[in-house]
Amino acid sequence: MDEKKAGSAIRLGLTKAPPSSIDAGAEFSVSVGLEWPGGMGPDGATYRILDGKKTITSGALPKPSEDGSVAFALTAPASAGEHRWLLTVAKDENDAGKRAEGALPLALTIVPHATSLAVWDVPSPVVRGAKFVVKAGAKCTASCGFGGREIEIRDEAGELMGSAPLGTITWEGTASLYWATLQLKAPRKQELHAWTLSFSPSETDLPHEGATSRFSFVTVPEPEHSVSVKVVNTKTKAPIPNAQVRLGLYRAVTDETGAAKIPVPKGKFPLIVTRVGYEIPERNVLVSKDVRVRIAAEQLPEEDPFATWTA
Amino acid sequence: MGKLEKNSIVSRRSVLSGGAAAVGGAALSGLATEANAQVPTRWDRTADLVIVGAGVSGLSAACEAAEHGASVIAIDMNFDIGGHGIMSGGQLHLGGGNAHQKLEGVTDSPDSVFKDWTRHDHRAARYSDRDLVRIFADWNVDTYDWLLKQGVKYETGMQQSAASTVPRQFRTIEWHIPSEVISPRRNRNGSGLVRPLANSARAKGVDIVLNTKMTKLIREQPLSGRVLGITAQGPNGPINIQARKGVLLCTGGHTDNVNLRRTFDPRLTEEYQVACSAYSPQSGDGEIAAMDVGASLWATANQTAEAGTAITKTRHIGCQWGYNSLVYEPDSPLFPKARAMGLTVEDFQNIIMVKENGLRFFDETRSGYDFFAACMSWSGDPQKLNGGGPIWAIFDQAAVTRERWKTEPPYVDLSGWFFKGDTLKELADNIAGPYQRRKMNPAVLEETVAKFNAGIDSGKDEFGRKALNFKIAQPPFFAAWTTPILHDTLAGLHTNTNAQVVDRKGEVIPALYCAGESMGGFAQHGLARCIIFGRVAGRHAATGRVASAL
Repeated sequence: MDEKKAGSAIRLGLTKAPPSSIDAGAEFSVSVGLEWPGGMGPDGATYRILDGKKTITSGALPKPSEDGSVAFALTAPASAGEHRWLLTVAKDENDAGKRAEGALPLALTIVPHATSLAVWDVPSPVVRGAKFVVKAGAKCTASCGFGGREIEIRDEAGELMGSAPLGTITWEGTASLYWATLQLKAPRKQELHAWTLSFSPSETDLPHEGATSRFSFVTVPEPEHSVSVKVVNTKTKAPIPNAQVRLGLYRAVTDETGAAKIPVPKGKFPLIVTRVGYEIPERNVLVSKDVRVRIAAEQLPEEDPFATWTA
Repeated sequence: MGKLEKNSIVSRRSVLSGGAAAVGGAALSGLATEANAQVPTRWDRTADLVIVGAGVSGLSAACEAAEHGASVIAIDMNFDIGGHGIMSGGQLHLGGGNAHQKLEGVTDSPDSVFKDWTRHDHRAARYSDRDLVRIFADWNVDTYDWLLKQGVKYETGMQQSAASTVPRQFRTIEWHIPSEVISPRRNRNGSGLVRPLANSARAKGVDIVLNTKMTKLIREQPLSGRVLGITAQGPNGPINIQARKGVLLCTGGHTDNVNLRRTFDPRLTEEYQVACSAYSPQSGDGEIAAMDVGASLWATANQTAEAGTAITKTRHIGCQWGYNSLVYEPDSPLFPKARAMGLTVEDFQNIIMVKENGLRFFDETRSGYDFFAACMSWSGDPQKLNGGGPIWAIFDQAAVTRERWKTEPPYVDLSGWFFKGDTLKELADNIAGPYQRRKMNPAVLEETVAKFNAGIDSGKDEFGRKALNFKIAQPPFFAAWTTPILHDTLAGLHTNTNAQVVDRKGEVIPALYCAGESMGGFAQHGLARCIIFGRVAGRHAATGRVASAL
């Protein structure tokens, strides 16, 4: 065997390539297969990963798995863009004075962390010109802390309608949704509004993409009267709590006494009451003064899955 | 009563020649070599009647045949008896003027049963074979009394349902030994039917062999001659069981067999749930084995008549199997397979439903066959043109609070049937169930919800939904498996009124019977037709008497 040739090169090839895109700063892994020159093996070999001349990490070559490949657990660069790293593996055999080396380029596509948003507890309808509050939150795919970062809400024309810094505590039940309460003022114009929550994180340690999220509400005139709805069982006359009442754009839920009171302006409103297990007819309500409406809900027979044949 | 014979060795020649004098090689050559090869040289077991499937129809047949002097071996692939029947609510649809009806003050007659179940104005009756319905009607009263003799007990009360114009539906009482109930506990009384039947059968000498699955029917020749027995795979390997008087197929329905169910409706691709799969998969074994020896299907219009519970809406979401009345509690012997109880939906206005693409497709508060058709409409996946793909219920934390759900195991199955996200985008990114062939586009889901929420504001929904009270807005967000469920098999093998299987030419296949959901021709939901045609088959196999001579 030609000792000089055999001792010169370790051949490297990817057995598990890096992900096609990697979040900035995220952990990832690659696996590399190695072919050793004659007589050599992985024991005592070292590796080094370079970004240009800068060493990213180095050390003793990790123990190969059963198939002979070596896995490297790595941390992605903190800046987005294309990165070209170089993995080098070397081994000195002191007794023979031989040295073997091999290298493999690693092409990495580093992307900013994606963010996403939620807006909730948006009242609707809102009386035109009235102040109201909503909750809004932002989430990083890598669960980065967003406390103190500003979120803002703009109207359809792009006008800033409100902003607030995100709190440092995440919303209950979520893994890492940072949230804030925003004070807003409804437009005078009566219509369906579609506003936009936006978040452009800056000065974060790692790069983040911004996000927007649309939410809606409807504005209505000032109330003049009230509609008191009472929902009762047709047969037993018992009040029905937790019935959903929809009066035009207005929504309410009946209380323990089967009642819901809705402040409304003058006008004619379709009344739709729904409650599981009841059939409730729809009707219109004309409002020119305070109105009381009694709704009779017919209880449906308990659903029997074995009696659901329909003609 | 006949006696079971074990390990009777029967030569191929004597079987083929019916025990007649030796037949020369030249004469035997008339039977194709290939045909000879399917007749085993050794029978491991022998009985007069070999029943495949120890469910409602199989056990009824076993009792009836044993009462009429036949020896019976009944095999079942499962670890216990009962099939679909033990999972059922125990609802019997029997009338004709039986004692229960008299007690309830209901006037009825066999003729009325026949008229109702052949009604032209009812989809569950319109397509049935009237010869079969006539036999069914005539056996109603006798079967009511017969079940009492087997030890079955009934609840009081009676309901009118389906095509019946008078009350005929009542329930068995749940079996009194909890460890033998098998099915989930809520409202499942079928154990009170199958346990007494199994005990009665055993007391009459019927040998019920569990964990044994039929692999093929043995007929003298591929498409002619008598059916001689079956080959089955048991715990100790394959066995051949000889049937002197007949083989009865009571294998249940076909709804778990994707290829067979698509014979009737090509939309029913792999993603659909099947009721009771956690215990009694509806594999279509009987139909397939019978078709392999020349049998034909019958009254297939019943399967797609769009009536009743052939397809149902998922009531328990976030688990693989969410059939209306089946909730698998963690202490159920079936829980390891079912893996979750599901979140029981009280009010469907708490959710929206989207397809794998993140788009809504129908008013979620509705049900029925227009809803199912929309579920199964094309999702836009160019690689999957049939079936509608997964359906996900999308909801928020506010809905969880209203419904008082617990979004964790054992209520939900986190292995591909339930997902959570802090935002809708994260939720869409997380959805990756076994039938989610394409990634859901988060932007599409966000837009779908924004559009729905705007409909809550305006009171106008793109799918005409009227219950518009709750937005989907409060984090976190959830996606729960809610793809429709297949239930009834309403079409199967062609039989005559003696439950004898009929071949493609319209001729009886000698010594082959079928009853229960694997039998075609009569679309009544539930247990009664299974019991009656099980009895008919058992009686005819044992005695040779025709069913009309009750």
